[in-house]
Amino acid sequence: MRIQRSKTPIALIVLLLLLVAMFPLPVWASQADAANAISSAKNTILNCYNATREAETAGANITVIVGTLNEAGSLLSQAEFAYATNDFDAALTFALQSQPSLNNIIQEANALKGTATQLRNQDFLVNVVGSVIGTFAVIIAGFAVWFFLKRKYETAGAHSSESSRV
Amino acid sequence: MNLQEYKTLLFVVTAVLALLVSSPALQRLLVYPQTEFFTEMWLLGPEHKAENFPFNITSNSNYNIFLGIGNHLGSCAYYSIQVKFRNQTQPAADSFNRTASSLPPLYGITVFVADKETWEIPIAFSFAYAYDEDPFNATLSQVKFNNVMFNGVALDLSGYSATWDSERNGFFGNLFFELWIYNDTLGDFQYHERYIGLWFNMAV
Repeated sequence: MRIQRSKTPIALIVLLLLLVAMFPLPVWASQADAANAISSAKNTILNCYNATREAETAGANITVIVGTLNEAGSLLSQAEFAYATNDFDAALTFALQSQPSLNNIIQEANALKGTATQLRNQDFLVNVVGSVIGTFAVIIAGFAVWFFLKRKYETAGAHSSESSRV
Repeated sequence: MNLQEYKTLLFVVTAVLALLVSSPALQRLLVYPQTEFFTEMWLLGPEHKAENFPFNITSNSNYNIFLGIGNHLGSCAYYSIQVKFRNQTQPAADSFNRTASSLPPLYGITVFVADKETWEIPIAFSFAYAYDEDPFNATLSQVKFNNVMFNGVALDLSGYSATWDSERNGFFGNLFFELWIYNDTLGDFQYHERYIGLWFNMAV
């Protein structure tokens, strides 16, 4: 009889544990979790923004990156709004959602920066250095033609004066 | 053709050719540096024109406008547009002192705009409000706001109200947008001295 009685609570506990295992309880995000996620999202966005700006300064086309930043920014705005309205679950979700799209932004911005710097150097070499060298070449060629013509005329003049003397 | 004529022709041909060849380099040298750095901010009406802005509005009706930004700061900028609402007596942003309104923002829009680029979004909004009646005069004494639906997000306006403006004959509310910009030195957003907004007559 004693054994029978003690079995009931054990069976209930086992049943409860099984239920807990089968149906996961919703996890409520705490205010601190949401705040941390928002802070982390802000830092990531800021790092991406700085990398993007460097790429732009190097002359890269950053339209696509700016589009991605705006998408992440929109999610961050929603996260901040949710946080302000004490909806910490939504705040956490939005803040976490804003991060994946930014994963490759810094590498992408750095790659664009490298390409832009290379193109700019190439452009400088062709358009500035090439142009300056070309200008000097044209001026020197002009002088060369002038000296050639001058000499030709002088020789022709000498010949004509010699023939007239003869 | 004598030598003197050749000299002139040669000089002209050389000069023209030299100018042509040097034009890519001159193009870079003769560009005036950008001297004015600023941000544009605009509102457009429902037809994407500066006309037909909503003014007489009714509770729970939808209205559309466009909000835009143009960046001429010389580099990509990180903006925050703070959406605020006020009645006739509450403080607005100050154009003369270049200060933002002290009212709390209802919503913040995070925006990135590349240099010489623009950004624009359509805004759909509707106000939910109710009237208070004066029992002695049987007239409407004030408008009490519940919320404003801003692109599908309900922004709480409880505590906001507008009283009868006897000069302009109406209950007025002002939805305005302040532009803030991220300052690297401060490590925070600072007011960019630009705001734009619309006054609404809260009709029955």
